[in-house]
Amino acid sequence: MNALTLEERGISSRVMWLYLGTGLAVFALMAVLGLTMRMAQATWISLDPTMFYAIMTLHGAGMITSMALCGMGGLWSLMYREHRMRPSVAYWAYGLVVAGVVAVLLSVFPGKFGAGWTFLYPLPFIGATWPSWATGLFLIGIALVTAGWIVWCIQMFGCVVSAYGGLRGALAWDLVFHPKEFAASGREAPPPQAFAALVASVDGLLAGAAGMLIGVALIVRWLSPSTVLDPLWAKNLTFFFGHTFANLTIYMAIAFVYVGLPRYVDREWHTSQVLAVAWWGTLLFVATAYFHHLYMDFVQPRSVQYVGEVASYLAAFPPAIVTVFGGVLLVYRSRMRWTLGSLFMYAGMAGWIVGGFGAVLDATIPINSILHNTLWVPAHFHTYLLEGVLLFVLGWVFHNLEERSGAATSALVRWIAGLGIFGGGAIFLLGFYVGGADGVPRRYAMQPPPGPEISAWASTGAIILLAGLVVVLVEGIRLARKRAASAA
Amino acid sequence: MIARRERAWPIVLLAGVTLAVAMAPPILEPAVRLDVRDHHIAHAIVMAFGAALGLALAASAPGSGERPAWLVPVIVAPLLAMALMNPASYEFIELRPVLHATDHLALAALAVLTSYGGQRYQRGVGWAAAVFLELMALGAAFGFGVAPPGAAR
Repeated sequence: MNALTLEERGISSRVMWLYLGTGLAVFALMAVLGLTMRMAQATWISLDPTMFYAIMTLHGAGMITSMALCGMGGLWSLMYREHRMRPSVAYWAYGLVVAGVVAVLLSVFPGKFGAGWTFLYPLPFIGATWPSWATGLFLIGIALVTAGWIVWCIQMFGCVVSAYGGLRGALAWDLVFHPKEFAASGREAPPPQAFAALVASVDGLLAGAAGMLIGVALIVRWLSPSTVLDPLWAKNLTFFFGHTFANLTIYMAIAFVYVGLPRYVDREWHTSQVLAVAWWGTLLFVATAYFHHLYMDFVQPRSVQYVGEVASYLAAFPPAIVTVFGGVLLVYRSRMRWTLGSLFMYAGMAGWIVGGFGAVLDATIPINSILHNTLWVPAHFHTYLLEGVLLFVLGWVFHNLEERSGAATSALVRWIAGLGIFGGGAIFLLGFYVGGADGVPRRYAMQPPPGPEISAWASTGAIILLAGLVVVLVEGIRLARKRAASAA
Repeated sequence: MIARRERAWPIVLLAGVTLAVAMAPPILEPAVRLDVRDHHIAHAIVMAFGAALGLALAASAPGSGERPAWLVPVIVAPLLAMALMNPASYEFIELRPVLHATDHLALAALAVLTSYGGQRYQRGVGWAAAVFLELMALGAAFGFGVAPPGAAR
């Protein structure tokens, strides 16, 4: 790591906080929309189904983008410490993503585009209850987000390749296969966060290419309705893009834990051969697991269904065995300082495991044939997004605030925040798991019993969770102001 | 001077081959009609030569560090290439050999821009951009304007 000059620290900090601030603001808006949907399903409030599906579309697209923004900004600043990059590129990527978010927002309010964030062909074009311009604006918005993501991935790919002597160095190939020569050469292996950057950029570029291809194809179909597309081809591309993009949010955010958690335990999280090989596995499995979204597509070649199941299982090993187990060992008997930052990072790893376990169950073909399109599906991804990615992001935010202010959160506030986020979060998430196990379908504005009853207590949990997040927000502002005051 | 000439001739040769691959089929065999899938694959081949030419051109260009302006062609050129591969336009273009050849030239030029722009942005990126452009072009052959009979539209 090269020490940053004062000016460089400013650059790194501005990019990071711009992305993090925007991402968390979008997250807050999407969380309120999510609660609105849950309360409508509980019949607490009345929501026109057309509006419900429009909000559902925005909620899905917005949540993933919000967490991606947080990961992009945070990882950019971490990699900037390793190898200087041009901030203008990061600002361009940010501008494209934000322009896309605005376009998607307008396609829903007032456009009421409601084909779901997965925009599965031919759904955006057949039986639409929204105007054609809303379809076009949504597709253009997603294309802009994808373009911003590709710009970020290109810069990150260039960064890791330049910083560690090409792809071979970035993969730590010599550390794994020629360890003695590697040690004798005096070279240093890439730090753990560099593997997150490499995997996010390579898999992100693959997914981005797929996203751009389906994006252009759908925009052409929108402009020229006589154009035909193969629905199965479209579904494969859409899920390769969407699943990979969503999945990478947690692999970007884990970089915060690699860097942040060791500072609470005064230990080092170094790159080992096992860690490098684990990330190679992640590189492969993240790109091939998406097939589990197509189990119900009987025309899909059977061989790729097995690839989907095997990759989904294998994808669990690197994070569970190497990263989370490594994190637990890092903390074990370390006299860790428990602050809001460290609490979020540590708990986030538990959320990742719980959500990942739910995902692996759902990726098991005989189980998927029962749970497919039930609330079990949002159960697992809400767990790893809300109690995984978000907690890693909040952990990183508080780690920075605590370091800058030199202050920590009181035990009382930690308990209140913890009870709100984990307690309320558990009630909220259990609503999805129990509903899914009971066969309540997902993506239904009006659910069959026992859906409304479960939605009612899930809404209660979501309200408690949001209250906890408000406490966290207030505490974050307090720490930020404390820093501002001490700087003045 | 001699070294410069030695460096230049493979580029000239590659440029000639790219031109031939792009322009010869529409001009020399205007009556041949390809189905959409094969036409996409033909475009992917034209772009592969274009991308290789871009990489060859960039090999002698100075390069260290990031040049952000070169990211613009890396992002925009593949998008334009995919838009030019609009299958609805194929029938119209195939009936006009000169337009068809120009279309192929444009695709080759966009591929040159993609890989050259990538290398000028930062060493290594041009290779990745070329691979992803090819993946997109080949990927299009399996569903963009191609659908099984009876598929929902």
